[in-house]
Amino acid sequence: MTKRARSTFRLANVGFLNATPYRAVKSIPWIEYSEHDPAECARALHEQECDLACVPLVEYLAGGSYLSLDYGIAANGAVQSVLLLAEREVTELDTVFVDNGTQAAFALLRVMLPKICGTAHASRIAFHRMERNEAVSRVGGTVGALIIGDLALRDRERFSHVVDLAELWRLETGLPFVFGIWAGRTIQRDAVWSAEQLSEISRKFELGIDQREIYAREWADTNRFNRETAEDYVNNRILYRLDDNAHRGIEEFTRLGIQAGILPRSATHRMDRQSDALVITPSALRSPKVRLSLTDGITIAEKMSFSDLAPLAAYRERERQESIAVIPVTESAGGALRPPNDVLASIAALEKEYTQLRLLGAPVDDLGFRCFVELIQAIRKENCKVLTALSADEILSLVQTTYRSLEDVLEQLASAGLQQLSGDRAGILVDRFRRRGVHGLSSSADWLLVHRTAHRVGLQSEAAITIGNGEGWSDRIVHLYKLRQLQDETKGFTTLRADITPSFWNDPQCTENYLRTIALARLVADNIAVIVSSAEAERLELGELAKAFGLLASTSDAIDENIVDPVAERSVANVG
Amino acid sequence: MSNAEVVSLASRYSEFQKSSFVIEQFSERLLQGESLEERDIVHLSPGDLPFLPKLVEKLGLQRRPHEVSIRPITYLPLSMWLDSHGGRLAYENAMERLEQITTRISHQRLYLAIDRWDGGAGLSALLSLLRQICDRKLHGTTLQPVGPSTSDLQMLAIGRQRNSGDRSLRNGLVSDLEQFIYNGLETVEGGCDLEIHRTAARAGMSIAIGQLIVPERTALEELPDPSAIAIDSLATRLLACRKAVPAKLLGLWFPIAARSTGTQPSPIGVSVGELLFAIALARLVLSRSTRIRAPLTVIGAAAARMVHLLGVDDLGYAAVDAETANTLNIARISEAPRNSARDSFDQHIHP
Repeated sequence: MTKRARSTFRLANVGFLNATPYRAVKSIPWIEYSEHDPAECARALHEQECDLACVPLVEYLAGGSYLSLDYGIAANGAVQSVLLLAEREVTELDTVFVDNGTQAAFALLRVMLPKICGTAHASRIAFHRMERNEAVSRVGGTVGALIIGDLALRDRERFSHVVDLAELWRLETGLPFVFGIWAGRTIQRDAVWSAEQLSEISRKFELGIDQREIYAREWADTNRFNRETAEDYVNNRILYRLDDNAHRGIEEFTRLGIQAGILPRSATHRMDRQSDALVITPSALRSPKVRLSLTDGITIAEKMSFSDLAPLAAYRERERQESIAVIPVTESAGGALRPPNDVLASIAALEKEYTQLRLLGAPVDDLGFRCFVELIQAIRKENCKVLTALSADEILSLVQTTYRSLEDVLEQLASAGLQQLSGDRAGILVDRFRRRGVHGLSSSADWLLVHRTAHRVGLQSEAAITIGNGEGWSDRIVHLYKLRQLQDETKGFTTLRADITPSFWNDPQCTENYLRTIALARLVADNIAVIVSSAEAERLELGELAKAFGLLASTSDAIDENIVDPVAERSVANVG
Repeated sequence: MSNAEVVSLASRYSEFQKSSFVIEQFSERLLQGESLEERDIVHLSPGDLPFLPKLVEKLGLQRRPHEVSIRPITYLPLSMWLDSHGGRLAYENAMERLEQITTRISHQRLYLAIDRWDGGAGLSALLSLLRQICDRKLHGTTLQPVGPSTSDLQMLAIGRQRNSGDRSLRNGLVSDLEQFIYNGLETVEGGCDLEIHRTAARAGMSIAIGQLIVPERTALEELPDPSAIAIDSLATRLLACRKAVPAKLLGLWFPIAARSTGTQPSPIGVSVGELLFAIALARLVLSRSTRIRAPLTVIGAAAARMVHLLGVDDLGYAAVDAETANTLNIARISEAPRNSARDSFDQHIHP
């Protein structure tokens, strides 16, 4: 089938001063234009909310077969807006708070740190993501912050030690560093880029770059910023056209990023990736060293049959059995907390052996939260099993109702003895589903933030995926890819729970979808060692089936104090 | 390369690579028209299940979901009615029940399972009554009785021997088979007595062999039934099946097993993985013309949606009413995959 060029295109630009020249495309009538943080641009591109976006280099490289244009945000020396801020030498830092909005700069920092302070010290520095203003406010002593964008431009002079990462890169490699690049999907579901459309976008980009001073002044006026500084920045600090030297910079960063384990081994910068043919062959997938890029994962999910997928994902590991005792801590859903002695008595009355204790329900106000913390302490005194409670949504709800910070809520839970957060109601981490209210309350960024912060304060957590709410394969892969990214960053996920919505059972494709999702989880979220089936999937016998096909080594067996195990047992039938 | 060489070479690799490698070798040979032999099959185990859908696909034996048939069935205690009420009342009872059932179903064909073949009224009377019932088409639904199993045929022959003093079980068996054929029942449906199946095949009947599968971990001496197949002796018994009955008459093969429900292990404790392995192996060992059944009741609804990938043609019987489900201990038709073919059933292969 011949694909048609689409009449409207969605462009996501970075909303920083450095990307203002690209605003020129707004005048194209068939362009739907929007501005975001670099990370949000990448999210929108991955989740197919836009067709072309200015994305962090690391997202473009790890994403796989995106088409790239010869435009971006690069620097051939000091850039002044990507800075490591500290009050001491880098060699004295033990913690760096990283601006939530950055991907490329964080990757660059991880590549460059060993060169600044030696491999041994670099490996001891802990990184924590944080909102950029808060990150800046924490700088002091052995704590530094990686800040990007306009805040970095404004605040750089406040700190005694400032490392300009682009300058450092230039000194080390002699090449420009490309922070962001314009990238799009090679083939959309129903359209391809037409040559005319691409050249019109390029013409507008050229026009914007030529008139960048005008855009910078306009931006400076709107943001009460110094006009001269803004003009100097866009004129002298930023490279917009990616020439051969810039492409060599990308290739060098790809090499170093793979070497440092920041980029998948399949990461390539290829300007000619016009097709969605598999970049990784099935035989290459068998190698544990190969990591799937986002778009390769989507292609595999959409095109590879279960017969091909099953052997690739087959999992041979000693069998594990997880028995989860589920104890409700509230009288009803959203209701008052049960008296602590009742809960403790319920736990003491559990007859079956279990490996994990899962508390169901959450407090709804500050008093309840304090009681809940005390309950965890009381359980911990008597019980050494893995203790799991509270989903990301429940934590966010607590933040609102208790007027505590997210960090405070999680720290209290961790110090009381909670071991891991529940992955319940994770749904799919694609915002168009979450905005519809299909999956919980939180946006995907909020969900990830809760888990990231939990990992930072010493809690572990469950990752989860829930299929069956109308999502497509690309949505599931985006979800798994986000889990993989966070796991790369924090290593805080203990398991990935594969769940299914009960209504999805009526779909004839339900079983195959479930098994394929687990197979893909094995391939994409390759850094989460244990995948388990959910209680719902076990009830539908999907967990056992996944185990039969070698996709799961663990099954979970839910023990609920209020549920009597079914005893109906079928004998040998005479008719087959 | 000899099989020994293949195994030796494969053993240098990890378990994963070994399975992959051995199966690759099998598929090449099968594609060249060779058959799997016992010396090949012994290298496979239920752990190789992830590789088998691909092998079945390469051989062109996979089915599409809608090609997998499922048979609606209802139970009639016909023999009991015949014994206690006589032929006329038994007929009226049967027609009244069938009338009720066929008004609320839309299947083209409804299978009838009867309580026993060796009732007091005699086989002739029972078959005659059954024929009378099945001559009617109710609300567009054709009625078709399910044939006797080898156990039923054994019981009939033993009863005849007891009554007539005829020492030859075989004579009685042949005579019974002739009666079945005369009354339009041309399939021996289930049971694993290969000798009886062979006799039935010689008499011109089509054969559906059911074999009791037990797990690998069961010691042979502990098998619940002497004709049961342990996973580790599956190859031998499947090859015996292949040899026992001419391919064109071995209409269908299926495993029988008790399956685990919930957290309660069944007495046999065979896992769904072991069952699916047995099914896939049967697909690979038996002739292409043999239909493979993965009984919905045995494998469960979740696995039933995947077995087309293992070359399964048929999901067996599913009850159209609660009474049948309870009496026969089988799944309800509502548990069957929605896209399975409820009535499409190849008359020429397996009437």
